[in-house]
Amino acid sequence: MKYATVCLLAMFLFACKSTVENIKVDNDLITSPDQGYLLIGIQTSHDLKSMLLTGQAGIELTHKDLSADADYILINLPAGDYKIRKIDLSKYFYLSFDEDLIWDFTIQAGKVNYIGHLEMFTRGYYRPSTYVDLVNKSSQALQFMQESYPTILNKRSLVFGGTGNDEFLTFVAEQQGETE
Amino acid sequence: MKHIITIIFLCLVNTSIAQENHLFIKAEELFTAAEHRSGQLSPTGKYFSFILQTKEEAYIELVDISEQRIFSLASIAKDVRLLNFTWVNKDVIYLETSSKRGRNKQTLLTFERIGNEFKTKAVVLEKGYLVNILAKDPVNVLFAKTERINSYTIQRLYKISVEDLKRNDFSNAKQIDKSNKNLIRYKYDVAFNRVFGEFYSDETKLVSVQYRTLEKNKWFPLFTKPNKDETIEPVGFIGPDRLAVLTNKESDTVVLQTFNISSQTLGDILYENSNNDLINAYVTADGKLNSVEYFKNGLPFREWLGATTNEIVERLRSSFESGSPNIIDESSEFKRLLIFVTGDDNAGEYYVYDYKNDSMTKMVSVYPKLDKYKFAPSESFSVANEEGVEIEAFITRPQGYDANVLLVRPHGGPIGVRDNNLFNREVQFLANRGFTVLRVNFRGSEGFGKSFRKKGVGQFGQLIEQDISAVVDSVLANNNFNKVCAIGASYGAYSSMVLAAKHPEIYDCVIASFGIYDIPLLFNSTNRNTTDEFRDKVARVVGENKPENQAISPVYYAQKFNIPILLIGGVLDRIAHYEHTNRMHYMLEKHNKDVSLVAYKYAAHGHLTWSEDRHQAALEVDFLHQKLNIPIPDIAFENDHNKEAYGYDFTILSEYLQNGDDIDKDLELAAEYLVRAEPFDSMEASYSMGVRYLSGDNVKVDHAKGIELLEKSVAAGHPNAKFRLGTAYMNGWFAPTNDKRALDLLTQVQQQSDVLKVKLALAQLRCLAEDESVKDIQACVDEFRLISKQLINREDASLFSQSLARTLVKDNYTKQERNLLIGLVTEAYKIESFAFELSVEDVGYFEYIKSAVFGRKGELNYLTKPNTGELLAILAEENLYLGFDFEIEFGSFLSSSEITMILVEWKKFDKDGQLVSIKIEPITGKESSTWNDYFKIENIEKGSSYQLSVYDVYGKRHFQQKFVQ
Repeated sequence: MKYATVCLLAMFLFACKSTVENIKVDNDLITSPDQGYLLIGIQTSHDLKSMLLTGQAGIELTHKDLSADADYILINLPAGDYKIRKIDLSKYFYLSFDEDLIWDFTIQAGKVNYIGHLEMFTRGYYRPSTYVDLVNKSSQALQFMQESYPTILNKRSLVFGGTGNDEFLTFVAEQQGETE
Repeated sequence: MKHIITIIFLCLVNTSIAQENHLFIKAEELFTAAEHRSGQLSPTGKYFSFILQTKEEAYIELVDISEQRIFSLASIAKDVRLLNFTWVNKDVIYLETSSKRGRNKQTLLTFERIGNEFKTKAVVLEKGYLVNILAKDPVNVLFAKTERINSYTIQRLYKISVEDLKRNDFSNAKQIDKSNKNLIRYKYDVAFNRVFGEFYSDETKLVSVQYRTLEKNKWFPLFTKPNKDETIEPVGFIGPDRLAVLTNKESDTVVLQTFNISSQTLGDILYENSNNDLINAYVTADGKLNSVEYFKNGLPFREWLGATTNEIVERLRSSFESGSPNIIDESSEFKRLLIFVTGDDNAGEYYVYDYKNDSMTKMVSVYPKLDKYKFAPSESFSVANEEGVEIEAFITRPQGYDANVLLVRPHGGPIGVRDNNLFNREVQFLANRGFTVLRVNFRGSEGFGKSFRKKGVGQFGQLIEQDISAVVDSVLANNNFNKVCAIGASYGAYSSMVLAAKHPEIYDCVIASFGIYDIPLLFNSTNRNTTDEFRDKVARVVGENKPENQAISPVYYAQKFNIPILLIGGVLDRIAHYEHTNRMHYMLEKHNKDVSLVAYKYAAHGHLTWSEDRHQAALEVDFLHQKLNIPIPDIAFENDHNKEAYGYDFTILSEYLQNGDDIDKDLELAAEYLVRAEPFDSMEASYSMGVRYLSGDNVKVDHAKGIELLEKSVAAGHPNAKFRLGTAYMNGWFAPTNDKRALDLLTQVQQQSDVLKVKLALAQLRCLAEDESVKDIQACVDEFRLISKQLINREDASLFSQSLARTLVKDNYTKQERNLLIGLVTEAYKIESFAFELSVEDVGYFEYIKSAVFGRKGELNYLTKPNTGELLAILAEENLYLGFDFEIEFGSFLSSSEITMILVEWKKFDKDGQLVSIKIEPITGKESSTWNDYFKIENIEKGSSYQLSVYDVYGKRHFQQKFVQ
């Protein structure tokens, strides 16, 4: 019975994922009040096959947006709590973060939620190991949004939605507000 | 009565006396690896031995002290780093090397001296390490083999005879111990014949120390090392059940204390210094304590215990004006001591003291190129802080030229790190350029006891900076500086910013590198750094993670800074993440402050290459000159040496901006620095500018001027200029062919550095030369053949292929000469066939299309558009390549499985039709292979054109196509 439940859950989990692609044009796509943007930086020495996000919705990012020369991914999602659950490095190798809380993040409605830069690198020549982190580069993400998506940034505030608590973006926004 | 020991200078190596006039230090001589290191006496004391490290190779050098002769054992570490060596007995040396990829290797080198010749034999040993040479047992040594089992490593400890080890034969070796995966390393106590083991526990994450005898296979616990504020380190056995340890478990400072093994308790304090932690203690071979070591006035000071006070040491101290002499080795047979001297103004020297004639002879300097400089001594002093606690500080004043600027330089950490009075490159460079440097061991610093260290915890931007300011105030009260700046790295960068913000009346500028500027970010820098375990670790230094930390973070008060600030960061920094620097820069710019940012793309928490160190040193001095309006001193132009030193600084600043490899490219600023380098007339500047005039990088192409500047640099001895000019004269690039001059220049370079590219150029010259006195085809072929057997990696093989291809496409050979070359190609590439017909399918422009399927390579699709100039003009910006697809057909009598070779040459002509660059390479394959070659061109110059040519190894051209704009 337990096995069957796991299977059902797994089927449900993977069956409900939808494939999304990076927003390429600086137009605000949020039409519903319960949606927000996810902004994630990608810094990897190898092309990645896919990344699965679970939580409020099941989302799959594909290799088209996860190549070694990728920079950032910006997508709109239903607001809520999410987790980076799995990263497929290739057809045969993957990293799974089922139990690990440090891969959780939150999408606040109406905001651009930067969750960090997914940094992946391989160490060791004879027995290589892959290391992956979500690195907080909020100021660089802010500069990126200012340069590449000024229209969206003008309408939506950029906040840190990754693990931990970082007030830098809020501080900048408040200062900006004071100046204006 | 104490009297000074006579010092004799043995002129074995480049030793010169410091000059009277102020010499500016050349950055490349200061920021570089030690040339001579790991000095040791041979077991008998007959030889002084050391590692000689050049850019390419490492040697073990032996100095016969009595004969005053130096011998070089064969080069034993090419393309690897020689880490260390140990004398096993009087004619066997154990070597540890590390490859570029970090793989360690152990080698046993046996040598025999016959007259003035040394015969050597090297044997690579099993993976592991030499534990002890067992001085009391001349036959055997202890060696630990390491074995990888699944994902962990185990170790086996062997007692093996030196004779067996020489053959790497462990069949007769006695296995003493087989470890579990938790053993870190075996050690051995000579006095009591006991093996130490340090074991790491996955559960407690603590290290426990255990011991056993060689005979009985049973480990006994000694103690567990604490991992927080306390320390306990074994020094050695001083009795069957007693150990001497360095510990601060029951005291404020680290003391020397007995440890009772049976009762697991600390006993008598054998030595303590109430102000300073002990850093070392020494036990004699028969288990008696003889000395302790601690920092005194910033230098390690060895104090001899009880009646063992060493008269020689006292006399040694009197013999040196500055620096700290330490006995690092001794031999009984020849009655000699090896002394290492180092200190604030001494980068390190080895001396041998001879008891027989009571004299001391200098062997070598660690950095012989620095012998000519007079370094700045540091004065050690202390100032009481507000609590009345004495704060140690060091002030280093410039010798000679003085810019009258004080640089306050807080150290990093801040907890558990200290400044000392040992030789410090960065401090010496700044002092040499005229700046006074002040360093402070504020609260939290290491070496002054637990309570002093704890006082710094959580005092970021508060009491730590109060301590520094107390010292700064005292220095300013007694000196008169025109300007004061703060300069620091890591915590020192943070501290510099805080000092400048708190005391705007004092500070005129800040240089902050690899710093932290946002305290809350320390607890949130990555998702892994948000775990409780990591945050606890941070809190032990920074204090609690609380909202108030924002108020002590410079990022959040950027508006306060009204002085010039230079921020330097390492993009790969995983300690003070680059985000700190970027945030600080962002906020300062947002408030329109005078801030400059230099981000090193390949630096982490500090630099990984000496070149970056040199660049940063030049950058800092330039920033200080520019922002404080300090003119370049007249003495910088006084002699060639000083001009070279300053010229180098501006050239390296220009090169980094020009290349854009490690920092952001800025061609305009690069050109400005070159202009500033020009008056110094330095060989570096002449070389750099010469190359630019030849290639047209950010200047108008002027071949004559380029050659003239390279000649100037050659005259000053620049090896790269010699190589560039030599190959230019050989190929007739930018100047008429001049074979004799090419030979002269390339031979000169070979004498300075016999690297592959120089060997290949010389071999090539012997073939290509038209001058009969230079041309020697047999020598050319022989040299290429020799080189082909020495290639050790792909890069080498590629260089070889290009050089040989360039030689083959020339058509100035007789039939006999050509046959010699063909023989070489047959041998080097195993080519069976050289006759083929080539038919081109597509030639022109190809577009790279990414694959829609993950993991599949993209494709280069041929563009059917005509070869318009428009396409060539946009080649660099788009996913476009020049290239061609073709087929090869062998003669009917040849098998299609045989291999042939073609030579593909790409030429570039500038707008005046001058040849400015060439790429040529051989392509090998079978008849059925897919044949093609594509070329991505960066930076298309207006009016330039490209030409593709295909040759066979006989120099016959099979195809040619020109691409014009």
